[in-house]
Amino acid sequence: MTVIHPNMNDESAKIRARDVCVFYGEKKAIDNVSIDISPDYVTAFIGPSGCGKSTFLRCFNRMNDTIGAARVTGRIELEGENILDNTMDVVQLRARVGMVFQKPNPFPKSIYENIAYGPKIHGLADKKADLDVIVERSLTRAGLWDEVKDRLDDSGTALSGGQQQRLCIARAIAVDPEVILMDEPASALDPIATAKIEELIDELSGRYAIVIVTHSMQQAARVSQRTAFFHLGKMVEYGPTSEIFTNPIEERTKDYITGRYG
Amino acid sequence: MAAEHTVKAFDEDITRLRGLIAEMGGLAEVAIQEALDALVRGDVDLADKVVARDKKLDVLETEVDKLAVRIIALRAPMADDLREVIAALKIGGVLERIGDYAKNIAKRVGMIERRGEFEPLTLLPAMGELAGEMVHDVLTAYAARDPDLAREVIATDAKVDAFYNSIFRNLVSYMVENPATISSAAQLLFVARNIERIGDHATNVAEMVHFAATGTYPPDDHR
Amino acid sequence: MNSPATTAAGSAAIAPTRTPAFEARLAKRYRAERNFRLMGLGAVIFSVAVLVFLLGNMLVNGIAGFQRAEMPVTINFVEAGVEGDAVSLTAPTALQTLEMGGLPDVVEFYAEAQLGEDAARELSPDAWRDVAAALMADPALIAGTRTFQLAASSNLATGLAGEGSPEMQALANRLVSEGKLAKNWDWGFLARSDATSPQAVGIWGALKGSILTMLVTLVLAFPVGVLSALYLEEYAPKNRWTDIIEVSINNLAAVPSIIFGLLGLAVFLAIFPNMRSAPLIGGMTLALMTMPVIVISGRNAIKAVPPSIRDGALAVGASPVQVVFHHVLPLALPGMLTGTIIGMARALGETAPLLMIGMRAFVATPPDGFTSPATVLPVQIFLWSDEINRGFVERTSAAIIVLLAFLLLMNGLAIYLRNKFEKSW
Repeated sequence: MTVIHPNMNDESAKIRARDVCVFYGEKKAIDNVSIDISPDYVTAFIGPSGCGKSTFLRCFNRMNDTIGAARVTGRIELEGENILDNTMDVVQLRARVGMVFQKPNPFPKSIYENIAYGPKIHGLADKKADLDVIVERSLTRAGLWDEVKDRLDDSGTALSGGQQQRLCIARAIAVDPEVILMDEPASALDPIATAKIEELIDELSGRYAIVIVTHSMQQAARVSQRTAFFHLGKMVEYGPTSEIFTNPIEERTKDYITGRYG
Repeated sequence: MAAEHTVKAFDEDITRLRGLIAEMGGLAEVAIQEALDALVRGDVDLADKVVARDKKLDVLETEVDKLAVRIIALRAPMADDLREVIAALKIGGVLERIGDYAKNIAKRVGMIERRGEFEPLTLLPAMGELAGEMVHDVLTAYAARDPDLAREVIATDAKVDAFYNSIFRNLVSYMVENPATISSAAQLLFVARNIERIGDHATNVAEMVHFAATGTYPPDDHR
Repeated sequence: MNSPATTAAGSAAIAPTRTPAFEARLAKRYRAERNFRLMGLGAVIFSVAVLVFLLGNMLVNGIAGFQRAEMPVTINFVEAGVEGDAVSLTAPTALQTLEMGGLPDVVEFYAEAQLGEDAARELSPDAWRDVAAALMADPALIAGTRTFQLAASSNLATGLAGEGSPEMQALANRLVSEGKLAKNWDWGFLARSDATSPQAVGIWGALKGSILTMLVTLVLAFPVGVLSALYLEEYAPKNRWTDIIEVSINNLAAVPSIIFGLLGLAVFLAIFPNMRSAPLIGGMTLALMTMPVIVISGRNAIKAVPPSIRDGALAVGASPVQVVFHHVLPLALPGMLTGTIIGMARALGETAPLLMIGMRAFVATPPDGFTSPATVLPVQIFLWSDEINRGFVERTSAAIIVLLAFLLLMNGLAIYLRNKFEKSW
């Protein structure tokens, strides 16, 4: 039974998930999860390892399709369209729902090429001048432009870890998505780089709907306005972040966030 | 408490914090009791002891502050742990002030003459006992994390206030009738005021206990 | 936190850690390390020594193979009355015309006049062909004079080398002292083709045949191998059928090469019966042999591409084909190229399958195209090593040097391409 806090006026939900189940072969990894993701807030998924939060996140851009044994049932609507439908163009979907991974994974190309790749394959720009504009805009929004504007031809992999992750965020932004999914984006970074990423998430949250999976409760508390707690494939509680962390309703949630779990 | 923290040292810290508060509470209770006894019996030595022992409460309050800050910095408490620590911080301050009021009462013991004849003097112990009970009950509520008992304590404050009003009228009319006793009666006024303030502070503690236990403040039925 | 006093007191009570037994064990460990290192070094030195010995042997023998015993003859074409002009000399039948016109006699005449009768007798019977070739290459020569370095006969060459009949040796020595015979560097070796006399052979025919065969092999094996590797790694579902395919390809890579020759004989020559010993057939046979190697190295190279790159590309919205060709393939390319060149180098040195499909004939002219008869370097070496004539020994070593040089070139190309495409991720 999911407990959803009252007084969350999310009539304008960007993503509506209803009764989503994910199976790996016979094993049920996600059990009937329903949630509305708001376009205005950063939503955090927290929970112990193996609870399915990353698996559920990957449903939103159908990255679970790349795993052969995975099967997703239920309904996930992005602006009204069911993205789990066979008629949904997965390539288009992934341009609207971008993803940033735990370990920064820039392409082994130049910084410029990293950003320009997405717009090129989606036909967002064909002239070099247009691409230049997109590259500069994405890097500026990701807070990386000043640091790399003189070396756009350097390899993306030559940057530091924090810069690489910001490059990956810029890459996701470059195709002008509506939603950005972040799977533990700062867990591989040192505290200063982490703080920069969190600041970036703050700045981006007005423009994009952001869903972040994190195993650090402090990070979820700092960065998000809505938090969902997952446990053993079920969503246990979903509410405003301030309430979840000061006065959660469910005993399991309380045990997890106060460190009484396990 | 459902389970223990995975990090046992966290549990130990919380236990120590609660222990400090309980100790402060006990000291405050005793201070009130003894101050009133000294007042009724005119026992200046006892009154001096009460004044001296107030220092212990100040020391304990500083310890509570330090421990609470440390827990927040090192443990990053969430939910009820956080409320518990914040409540302990505030309750510590309030208990210290309660102790100060008891000290204040004790200080006035030597300034009151012609003890035995004062009628108002007989009312004060009853009022003081009520206030002392409030403090006792609220500390019991704290130990048991009992929001309902806390609300009862809050309700009791009305009675203390009523006591204060009647004692006030009593003392004023006595002073009017016996102008020679004005200085002593005035002291008693202050004592009554102190006891009433103790009652108010006990109410503050009760509100914090309720907040720590439930996350909400008790509804404001005007007291 | 120990105070200094307690630590000092504590350490006095503990026994020293380096006992004599410990020291002995330590010395033994270091000895074992040193011995292992020396053994490794010894193995490396031994291998290098064998390699140096092999190469040195080849070089020493082969250097002689790049030289030829020649005699200088000056021919005045105008005086000799050789007929011909720009048209006739560039016609396809030019050689026959010149032969009919008596060019061999002209050559013999001048040789006798300038070198003496016994020397002229020991002129190579094909010597006039060199003159003819010069005329055909430069028709303006017919109006002038030129000195030619004409090949001596193989007997005289043998005599010059200090072997063969005593008369030949004496003749050779006499001619050398008269300045009429010398061993010159033979660039023509790299331009001529197979012949009966070691003085007239060249390696170009076999070299061209090898190049053409390698081209066919590459064009057939590389795309098929790369696409198979991509499909098997990226698209094929992981079930029993793909397991069977994987096992089959691995086994195919281990099959002895002569089996492929049998296959080529049975299948390819049945389809193209009149193309025995053509580079096309040879190339197809070798392609069959090389393809599994490319598939295996290709799959390993693709497996080495980290899944994070694929995930990153997919997340940006690339289709599976775009992920493969824009991201996986460029990163796997160095490994694939290395595997390809290794496979090609192996194919270059293969003799058995090509012998089976008939590339063992005596082919005197370099192949015109992919469907004309040809031979390849290793087969040529094999054929020459079988010859009785003493002069072929040096030529064989020279041919081996050419083969090794070709292999070195291919490996160099592999290293260059790999470094060029190497990207760190």
